[in-house]
Formats: sequence, structure tokens, C-alpha cells
Amino acid sequence: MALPDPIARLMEELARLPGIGPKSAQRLAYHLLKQDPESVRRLATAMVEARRQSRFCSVCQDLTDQDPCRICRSPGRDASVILVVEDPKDVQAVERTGEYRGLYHVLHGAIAPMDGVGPESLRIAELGQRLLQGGVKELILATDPDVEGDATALYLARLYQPAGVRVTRIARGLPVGGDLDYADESTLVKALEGRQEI
Amino acid sequence: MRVVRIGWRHFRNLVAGGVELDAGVNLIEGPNAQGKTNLLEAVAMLAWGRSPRTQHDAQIWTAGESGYRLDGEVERRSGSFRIAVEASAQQRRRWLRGGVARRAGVDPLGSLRAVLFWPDHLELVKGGPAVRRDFLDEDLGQSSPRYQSAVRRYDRILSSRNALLRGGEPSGALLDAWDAQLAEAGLAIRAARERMVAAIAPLARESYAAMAGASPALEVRYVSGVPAQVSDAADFCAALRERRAVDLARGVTTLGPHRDDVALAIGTRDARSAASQGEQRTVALSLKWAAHRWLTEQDHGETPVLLLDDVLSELDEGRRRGLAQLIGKGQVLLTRVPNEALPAGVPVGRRLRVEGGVVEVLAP
Ligand SMILES: [Zn+2]
Repeated sequence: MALPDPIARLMEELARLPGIGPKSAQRLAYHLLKQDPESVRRLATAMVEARRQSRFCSVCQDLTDQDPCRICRSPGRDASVILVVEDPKDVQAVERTGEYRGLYHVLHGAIAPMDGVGPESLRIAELGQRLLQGGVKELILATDPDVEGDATALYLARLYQPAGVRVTRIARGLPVGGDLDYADESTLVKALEGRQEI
Repeated sequence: MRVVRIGWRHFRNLVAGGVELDAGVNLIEGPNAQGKTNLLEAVAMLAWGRSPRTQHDAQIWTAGESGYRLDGEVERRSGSFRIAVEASAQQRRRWLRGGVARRAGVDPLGSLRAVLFWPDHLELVKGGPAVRRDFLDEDLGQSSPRYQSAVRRYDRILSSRNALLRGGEPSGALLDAWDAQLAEAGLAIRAARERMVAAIAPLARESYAAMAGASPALEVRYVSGVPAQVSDAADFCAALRERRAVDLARGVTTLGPHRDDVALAIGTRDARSAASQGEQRTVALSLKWAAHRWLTEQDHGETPVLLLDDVLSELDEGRRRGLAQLIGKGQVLLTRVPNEALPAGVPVGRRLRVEGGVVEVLAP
């Protein structure tokens, strides 16, 4: 028996989300259909509003609802240190440690030639602009500890070391091949402390 | 180490079921194309988490089904555990231990090791270098999860670098970044392969001598795809830079361990071109025998499970003798078509019959 159109469409849309296969999409759809209409509306509104009100910080490229973002505007942060990460979720992971007082830069990915992702597809030019403006003493490269993340770190090091900036790479206390944001907080703190010249 | 029990569902042509295996020799009988090899493949998959025959799981599950599952109970001196492999149209293949998905082979005490020998392995001698690199990575490499992870890492770096070479005009800084990684991973692999080949060379020579008698000795030598003068990462990067124009023109990386080979010679004759068919068979069996001995050493005396498919035909007296010695150690699954003679002195622990996908235990 064919599904009614609206339900089939819902499943289709859900199945487009990362990590959601057809089976999970089906489970989620049936779950939503069982909820009262008000709670479904709240979810839908939250999604629409989050999308509408978020943009990229013109300084660090993190997702934000105000530009520049809270971290970039905070007078309490050390503007001479920039920690470079692949994704906004990595900023959240490092912030959770409560140990880092510098600023961030979000690349929105890593160099991945097999997927056709080169430096020009990442927010690397924006990072160069920040360094040109001066005042940055250290760049901490915290891209993921996998092949693409390491290549991105090496590339950035070659690009900016000649400019006289101290470039470090966070230590490999991280599970190799893992995502930064899966690491627990104490591992991340240790990795930050053990960072090395690259 | 041994497989105590193995079960299967929707796997190849096998009718769902299971069988207990003997700790010694399990003789698997039946006419050709009835499922004997599938039983060996199932054990290999429990060991490696992948099939030695195909990467496409849809070819593995029974026609008309949409997935398969294998279950095994493994006993090592340190304890026993359950492993499984499953895949379906919705779920990519995964290897499980104690019901939890993991990467196969990473935990030495929680893994099944296996050495497979079947007619294809004549290619070890006759085939191209890739076959011998697979031997290094898959047979010998199973003793070292760190080595296998270095190989996976190297493969990914290499594919990325090649994609970069083919994708227009990459900047020097970008290629440098990939070169540095290729160098680091490449040197680790060269060092490991050098060690492994040095370790198995005398074992293979001994095994060959046991089978071939007074013939000149078997020489096994590692031939690195990295120039000999490269001794550290800086050298490696310099060598890559020297080749950069060539690499860019061809769109591939022209030096590194992906171009390694293992040279095989009988005395001074190249085994690939100058050996007889019979000598080549003996060389291939010697390499497998050496791998079996070496894995046993690496695993503190635990013998890997030996899977022998269709090896009884084409045996001369020497190989028959060698096979009998090899079979005397640990658990073996050995296929045979009706009326094929077993080497003398092989103690059969259990006889299984496979016909039309049905596996049954025969009275001893
Ligand atoms: Zn910002």
C-alpha cells in the first residue's frame, strides 16, 4: 500500500539529513505523527528560526545570531591567539572545556582533494586577512586528526609560518581518525596543553 | 586458536544453519560448486571482516534475500568470545564482537587470525607486485593493527595526492602538505615491510627446502618503491619534489611503498619467469607456510586457522609432505572433491559434507 503523499514527503525530507537512513526517517516520521500538533509546530518553528537568524561571523566565520559573534566581541578573550577548527561544533567542544581564552577561526571543512575540496573552498582567505591585520602571535591548528585535517594543518603552517606567526598543532592525545567533537573534555584539554610547533 | 562453532544465514548458497568444528583437521567434502568454498570464505570473513573474494556484499547474500549474517564462537588460550559479520541493503557490512560493532582485528586477544591458501595464490609468484603487497598487508599485516592502520592511512593520502595531481595546477604549498604526510606514512610502512620480509625470508626458505629437497634455496627479498638513499622524511619529500614534474604529467605518484614488490628467486633464477609451474606452486605454498609460522610466533604460540581450498590436486611428493607438516599444526579447514587422496598421516578430526548448500557432519 502506498503512503499518503504528505507522510511520504516528510520521510523523504528527513532521509536527506546527515546520518539518517530510510529506516530512521520512517521512525522519526511516525514519531512526529504521534505527537500533538503544538509540539510539532514548536520543532518546525525552532528549525526555521534558527536557520533565519543565523549567519557567519565576519571575523571568525562561526555560526552566530549577531555579527561579530559573542566570542569575537568579548573583551575578556585573548585576541593574540587563534584556534583554527574545521566546524562550528568543534568551537562548542573546545568552549566546553572552559580552558581556552583565545579566539577561533572556523574553516568549514578540511582540504579533501578526493571530494574536490581545495583551499579556495574553505575560509582560509578570511584567516589570512585576520593575520594581515596584525596582533596575532599564535595560530593553534586544531583540525581533526585524520588525513585531511593533518594536510590542512600542514598547508596552513606552510602558508603562515614565513609570516612570523607561531604555528602550533594540538597534540595527538586525540583518537586518531576521530572527530574533534567526539573527544571528551579532559582529552581535549590535554591535547591543547601538549600542542607542538609544526 | 580455533573456531568452535560457526553459523550462517542467507550466506551465498548455504542453507541457514551452523556447524561445530573440530580443533584439528576439518575435511570438507562434496562435488564442485556445492558450497565448500563458501564455508571457508565464511571463516575468513569472521577473521578479517571482509571477503577474500569480493568487496560487494550484495554478491554475498543469497539471491532473493537482502542481507546476510555470520556468527562464530572463537576460543583462544586467553578466553573465548563471539564474533559476527553482517550486512544488508540498509546496513553496510560490519564486524561485531560480543554484539558490539568494531574494526576487525584491532584487539589481538579478541580477534580471529586466518591464513587462506587456494588456487588463486599461484598468482603470488606469477602475478604482478600488487598480489605480493596484498600478501604483506593481509597475511602478515594481520599481526599488527598498527601496521594495517598505517596502510589505510597511506592509501588515503596517496589517493588524495593523486586526485590533487590530476585536478589542474595545485600550488606548491598544497602539494608540500600532502608530500609531508606521504613521507611520514611511507617511511613507517617501508620499515614495517622490511622487518616482516626479513622475518619470513628464512622461514620461507626452510619451508621450501622441506618440500623441494636439494633444489637451490628460495630467496625472498623486499624491493622498496622508495629510493634507497631516502633515510628520513626530509629525504622522502626531496625525492618527491624531484619527481613532481613527472607526477604532474602522469597524474599519479611515481614513488612510494605503493610500488613495493617482493622479489622471489630460486637460487639465482627469478621465480616468476624462470621457475617451472611445479616450482611456482611450491614457492607459493612456502610463503603461506612461512606466514602461518610467523603469525604463530607473533601471537605467542597461538596458531592461526588454516583454510586450504582445492589444494589437493597438483601435489607432487614434496608439496604433499609439506602440506602434511603444515596441517599438523592447529585448526584446519580443508576442502576435497570426492576420491581425492589426502597426504599420508593427516589426522582427520571431523568430516563435513556440503551438497546443494546443505552442510552435514558425517560419521567419522
Ligand atoms: Zn566570531
